[in-house]
Amino acid sequence: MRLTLFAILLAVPFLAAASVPEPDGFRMGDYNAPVPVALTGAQVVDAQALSAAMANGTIVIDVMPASRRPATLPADRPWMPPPRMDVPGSVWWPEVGRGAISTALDAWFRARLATATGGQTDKAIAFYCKADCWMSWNAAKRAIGYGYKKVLWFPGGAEAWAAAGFTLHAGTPETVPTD
Amino acid sequence: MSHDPFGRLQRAALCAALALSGLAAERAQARDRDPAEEAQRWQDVREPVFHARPVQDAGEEVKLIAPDRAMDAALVPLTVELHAKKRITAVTVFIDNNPAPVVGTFRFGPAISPDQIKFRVRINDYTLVHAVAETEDGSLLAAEHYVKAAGGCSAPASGQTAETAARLGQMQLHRTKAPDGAGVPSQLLISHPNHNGMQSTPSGGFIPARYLDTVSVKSGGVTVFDLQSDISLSEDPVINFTYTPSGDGGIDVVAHDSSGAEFKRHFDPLAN
Repeated sequence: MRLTLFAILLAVPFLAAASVPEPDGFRMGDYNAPVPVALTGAQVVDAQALSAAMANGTIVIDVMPASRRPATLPADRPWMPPPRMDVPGSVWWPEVGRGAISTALDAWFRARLATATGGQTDKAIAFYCKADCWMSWNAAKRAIGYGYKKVLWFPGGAEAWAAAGFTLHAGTPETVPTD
Repeated sequence: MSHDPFGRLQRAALCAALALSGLAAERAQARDRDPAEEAQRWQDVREPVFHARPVQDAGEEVKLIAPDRAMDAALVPLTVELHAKKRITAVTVFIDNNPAPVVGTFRFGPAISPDQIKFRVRINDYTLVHAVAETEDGSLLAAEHYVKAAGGCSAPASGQTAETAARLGQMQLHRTKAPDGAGVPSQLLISHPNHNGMQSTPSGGFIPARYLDTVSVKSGGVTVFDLQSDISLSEDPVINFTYTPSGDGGIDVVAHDSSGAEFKRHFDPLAN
């Protein structure tokens, strides 16, 4: 019996390794990795639930980073970022899901959220990027920190949306401050 | 009760953990290739460079050596082996799915000994990589390789310190002695962060783009190659090439970056 208990205690670290714990703060790097199953303060949704929430007016935000053309790149050099296929009806706010964001980007994110929600912190907002991407987790956590009370997190991202049979479209990123 | 509950339970837990993490890895990496989409993308990215000129499969004449899966997407080594029957005048390399798909063009001069060139690139997503050699009669010979790598463009810079700034543009040249008349295998290292504008700083800002846009190598005043490059070239570019010594056999390198800085270095002829 004692031996069995000992065995279970030994096994716990192996099981823990399979489920990702929620960090206290933001994820600071290596964003392309398995994510926790939960985000404290947010409701985790799948594609069906996100679709239903959208139908009810939830604001949906794609936080995938976007490529930015260097201003110095000669005009004759091709600049052709492959299209980012995301959820139709969502807005694309790049970079707000990084672990650390600049004061200017933080102000931009707050202002865009305030505009999108009409200043109502109880308006539902949902965040996603792609599968195994911490940026949506970070962005949702950040919005909770701003005081938004109905934050949804869609960890499956664009892949799960497509896998559920919904269509994707080529998104257009909004321009964010980069200084 | 079993004789060995300890081992069995632990093994079971370990198996469960491995199976779960294996699933996660599988899900992250499973990516269906779409040949029609890849072909369309390749046509789209080469069009601005070659317009409607036909591009043919290089077969054995040009080989592109690249890893199937890159260990570091910001430092993916590529080697272009050149075995063309006709003289090759230029090599252009494309990372099809990079936002700036053209890595650069090496224009060869009379002092090149065209056996192979090697360098490192950033790869932003799973992609076909193409190397296109242009022969003296204007034919375009293409070799390709599919590389699984992601995140190379936004990968953090290795550091932006006073030390990095101090060694900006410094160069080294490693040469292997060769018999008289034979090409000299060489490796050129240029210290330059080659910032692409997408790398973030710890405080959440972004490092402004600053990258090498030309690198010119001459031997005794005769061109070995002129490279036109931009942000897909990795930081601290390392370029392997082989040259035929001309004039006194010395090497002059002139590099230029997007901020207008010029870096020059003369290397004496190899001592006998």
